[in-house]
Amino acid sequence: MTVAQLDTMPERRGLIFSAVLHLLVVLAVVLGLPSVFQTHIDEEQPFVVEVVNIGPKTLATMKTFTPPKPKAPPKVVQAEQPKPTPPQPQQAKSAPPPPPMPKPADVQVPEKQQPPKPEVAPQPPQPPQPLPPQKRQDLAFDTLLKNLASKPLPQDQTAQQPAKPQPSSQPIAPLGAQLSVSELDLVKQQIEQCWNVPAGARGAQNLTPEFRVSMNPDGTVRTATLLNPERLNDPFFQAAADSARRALFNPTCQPLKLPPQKYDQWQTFTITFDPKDLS
Amino acid sequence: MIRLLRPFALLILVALCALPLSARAELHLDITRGKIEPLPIAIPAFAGGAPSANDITQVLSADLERSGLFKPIDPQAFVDKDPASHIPPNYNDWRVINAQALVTGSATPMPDGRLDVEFRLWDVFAQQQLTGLRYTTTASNWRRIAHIIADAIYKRLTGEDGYFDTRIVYIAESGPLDHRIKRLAIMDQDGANNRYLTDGKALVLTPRFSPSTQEITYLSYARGTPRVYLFNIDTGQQEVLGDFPGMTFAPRFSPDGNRVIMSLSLHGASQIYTLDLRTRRAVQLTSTDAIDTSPCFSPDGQHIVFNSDRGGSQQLYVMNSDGSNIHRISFGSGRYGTPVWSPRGDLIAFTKIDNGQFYIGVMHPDGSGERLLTSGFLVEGPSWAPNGRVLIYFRQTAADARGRGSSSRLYTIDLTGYNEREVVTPTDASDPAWSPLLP
Repeated sequence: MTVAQLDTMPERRGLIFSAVLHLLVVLAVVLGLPSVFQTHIDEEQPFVVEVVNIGPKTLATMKTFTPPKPKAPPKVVQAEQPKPTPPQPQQAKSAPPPPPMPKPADVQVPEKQQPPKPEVAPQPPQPPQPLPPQKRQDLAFDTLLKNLASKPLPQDQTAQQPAKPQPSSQPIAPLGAQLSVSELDLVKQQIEQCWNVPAGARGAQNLTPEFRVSMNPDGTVRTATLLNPERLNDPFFQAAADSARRALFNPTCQPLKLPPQKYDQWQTFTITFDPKDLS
Repeated sequence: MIRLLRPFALLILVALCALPLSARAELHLDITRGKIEPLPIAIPAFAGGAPSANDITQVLSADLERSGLFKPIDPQAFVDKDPASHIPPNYNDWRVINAQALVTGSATPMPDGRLDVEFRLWDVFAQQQLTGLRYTTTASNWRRIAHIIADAIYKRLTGEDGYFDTRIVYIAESGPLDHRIKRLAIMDQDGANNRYLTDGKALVLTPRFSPSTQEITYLSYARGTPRVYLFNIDTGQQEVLGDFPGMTFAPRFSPDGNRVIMSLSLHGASQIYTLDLRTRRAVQLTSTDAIDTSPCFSPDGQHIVFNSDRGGSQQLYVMNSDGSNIHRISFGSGRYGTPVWSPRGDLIAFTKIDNGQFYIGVMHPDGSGERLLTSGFLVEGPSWAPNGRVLIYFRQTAADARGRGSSSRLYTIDLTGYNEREVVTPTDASDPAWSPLLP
């Protein structure tokens, strides 16, 4: 009997142990891995990433030793998007191209989708975007105006300087067939320095002449055709279109700094002149 | 049949596959920045042999330079010193000196003594003619022709109407401060052709042009008490406006030129009246115990801006043209006065006094966007150029302890707050008013 008791006691104890351990395992599963039992599905958070080619001569790499300030990414752009995590410039530094790789689990990379560019690299700071176009234009022009009440005037002076090459953290990538962002930036900056903004344009709205430009292989402009000539009877628009045409043919901007080996990419292109970012 | 089509189907399939490749997006650039610099412009001396040809070029060049939007290139730098006016220029000659625009022209004396002036404006980079005009006038009119050409060039290159063919009426001041002689004077906007309209026996103030530019309304003490007068520039005739019991002041024409709006002071208060110049009927628009003055119509004639101390301190108010819906628009610190509605309608210029300092500023008609353009010991009385882009005002410097050394001069400033320039007058000057474009 004693023997039997001795025999059965360990059996029962083992059973209890087993039950307790099972319970612990079940509890651990329930509490520790909540997602297994929860039917709640995370709200889908689309996160767009632009796939860009990085040219061998990224403007940005010239200044990589000065890490971009954390404030550099255009905050306002994010306001428009569902919930993108702001790209951390420091992260981007070590990350492969497309730099913003915040939470891999959340990132969906839609192929072929070309979102509004912003996150890629520290671009020149954009003005607040969510404003209506009219307001935006007003704001842009306001920055040109002197106001004794709101001081530091010297800023106005610096504001008129042509944009300097922005530091970037892009690593050098193999040459792509498309024009890279840095190549486009270079030619944009070149044209910006040749554009005398129509001086009388203050207050006139939507002066955005658009041209189709056909190029010679040596990078000089062959022809520039105005694509919205129907507005030429507006003297303000006419003056704006003329000033844009002068920018395209300005000898100090000839030839345009475009990579000769990609001539088929830029032998014709369209270009819009919009003084919205004048600041 | 189907079998026959099969090879074609394959062809179509291949073609469809190739389609997206050929329809790839065209490269697009968005230029959103540019330079804000005066446009380099070359203005070689006009050909044609008229004695005034050189003068026309100089007046034209000076007009454009003074606007602050153009930078005439020194003729010493020209490769082609004497370009023909009627054929396209050799653009390379002008491109090398970085001229973005080129003006060629001629002034030729005609057998009947008149002057034949023509000009062409060329876009050097785009290699095309932008505009070209021709005028025939009496030889003595060369200065006006130069201003008219400057207006045409300004308009073609900026899109905005010019303001060079205009005049300025002002109060010419001379003599010691305690015995000041004030005369009504008129001159071209560049200071030329200055002449005096009154002899200085009576004190005159606040002259304003009529839209026809032939009449000036102003305040004169000719009969002892200050009254609003009308002066005809052509005939030199003066007349008192209206038969009011008290003193009238701060007159200004309505945009259609048929009415004059002014203040009438009676029993310590000032009210705003309009007087119809055709019927001579007066209409009272405000009725307070306060001082309502400096009224000015909006360019569409629908509203009136004025300053009033009805709220305790002198501030700007806007009302409908019938006197209804009076509301205050200035809420900054300090006092506001002499409001003037821009001919473009988008802004109101004013004088502001804050902490003992005077300012000239602008704000939108709803009171938003106040911007101070210039300041000084005494800057006052802004008046708009007809294109609503430039303001003229007067600037007085402080006198020393013995009451000497004070000066009062006219200045213009661009609406952007830059390009402040003196308009040179033979004597001290105050209360300038810019005329509309001459007809």
